[in-house]
Amino acid sequence: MASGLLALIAATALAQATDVPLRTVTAQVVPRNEALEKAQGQVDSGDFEEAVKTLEAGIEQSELTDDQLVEMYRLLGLAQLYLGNEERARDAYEKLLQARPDYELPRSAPPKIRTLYARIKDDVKKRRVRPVTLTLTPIGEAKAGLAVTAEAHIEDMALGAKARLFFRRSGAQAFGSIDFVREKSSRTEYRATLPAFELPEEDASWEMDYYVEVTDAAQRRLAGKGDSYNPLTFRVAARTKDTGPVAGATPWYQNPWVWVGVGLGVAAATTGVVLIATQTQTGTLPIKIQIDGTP
Amino acid sequence: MTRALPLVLLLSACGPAASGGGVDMQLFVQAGLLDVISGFQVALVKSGSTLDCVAAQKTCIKGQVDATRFVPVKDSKGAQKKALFFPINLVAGTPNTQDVSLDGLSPGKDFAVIVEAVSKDTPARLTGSSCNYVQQISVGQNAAVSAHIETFPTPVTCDVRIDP
Repeated sequence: MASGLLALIAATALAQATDVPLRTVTAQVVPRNEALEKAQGQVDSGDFEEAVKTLEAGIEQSELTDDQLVEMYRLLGLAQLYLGNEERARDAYEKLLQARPDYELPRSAPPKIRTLYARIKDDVKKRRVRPVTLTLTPIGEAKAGLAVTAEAHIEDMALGAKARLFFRRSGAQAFGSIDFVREKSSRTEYRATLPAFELPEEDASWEMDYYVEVTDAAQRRLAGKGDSYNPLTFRVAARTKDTGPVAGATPWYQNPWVWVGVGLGVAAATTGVVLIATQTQTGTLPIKIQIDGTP
Repeated sequence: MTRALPLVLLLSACGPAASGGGVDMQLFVQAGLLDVISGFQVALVKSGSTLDCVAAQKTCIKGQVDATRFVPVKDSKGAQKKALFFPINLVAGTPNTQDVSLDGLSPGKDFAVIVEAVSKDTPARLTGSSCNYVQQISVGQNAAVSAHIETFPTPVTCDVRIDP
């Protein structure tokens, strides 16, 4: 049954290749990638074997976005189908589903391919090949000079896969990375700590780009939050100029003597004002009487 | 020379006493004033600039201005009066003087101080009078007013006492 379907698809593809250039529609607009564009052209021209080679090499590239990865797996699955390699096509679509569990083929895809894709999707579910799911707690504003810890909840982590936190100062070109480490007491909680020296104190606040990526042993992206083209950001606070009160010291306003003094001052001022207001302001006029002569 | 000095000092101590270099003054209060004047009535009048001091000194002030123009003053007991009477207590001198004061005055401007010498006889007559303009009375001690009373040859018969 399956071999018949493959033969049908291959025959259709070959027929299209002889009449008009084979055209496929990309699922969505994705950032430019040389390997992806080359593979797209090869698929369009019916050069499936070369497309497979291009795509397998392209998938090995680092810093692929989710969309690019999905598109590569989609083309790879399609090319393998055209070549009659259903199992390899299935493998490609499984990877696609791992990276994007809710992915659906574009409506422009040939109906028979859509049917096959639905069947593979159903098989994936039955085989309980569950995709890696990543839930990341966004990093809030960080204090400069202190380490920052990113927390992630990762389910169905594939064997040999790794989760990494990629980061760079906003505006910088390259990302650095640190690995997430699974907490000993949990199978799904992971932490990655950005060291303090990566968050230097400055007079003005600044931003850090970051994204999280789960990749398999072959560095293929299985799941992620953000990517190098659309990173997440968090703000690093500016240097605190006022060092604040000494730890353990009582704030001045909690000192009762301050308020006793204030109370006495207010009482004295009030008394003075009342005295001044109620005191009759009068003057004295001395008179020196001089008299002479005899009446 | 040194032997003659004690002799000179001894001789210089003899003879009449020196006068001190000044003029001896005989200080006394004229007996006539003490016999005639019982005391002085002092009043402070508002709007002093409207008062003709020359005319005011010729007769009793009580009949010359409205009673509302007398500024209330405090006597020694703290009572409010329109005028104060000071029994004669002249200090010997030329002329004879007596220092008095008006206390508890509200600050203000444009006053006249009237000092009237009141006779001892009954009914009391005006023996002499003085009138001084006072531009301003301030809170506290003010500059002293010198009230010079020229006594009349014959006391004037008029209603002298402002505050009986």
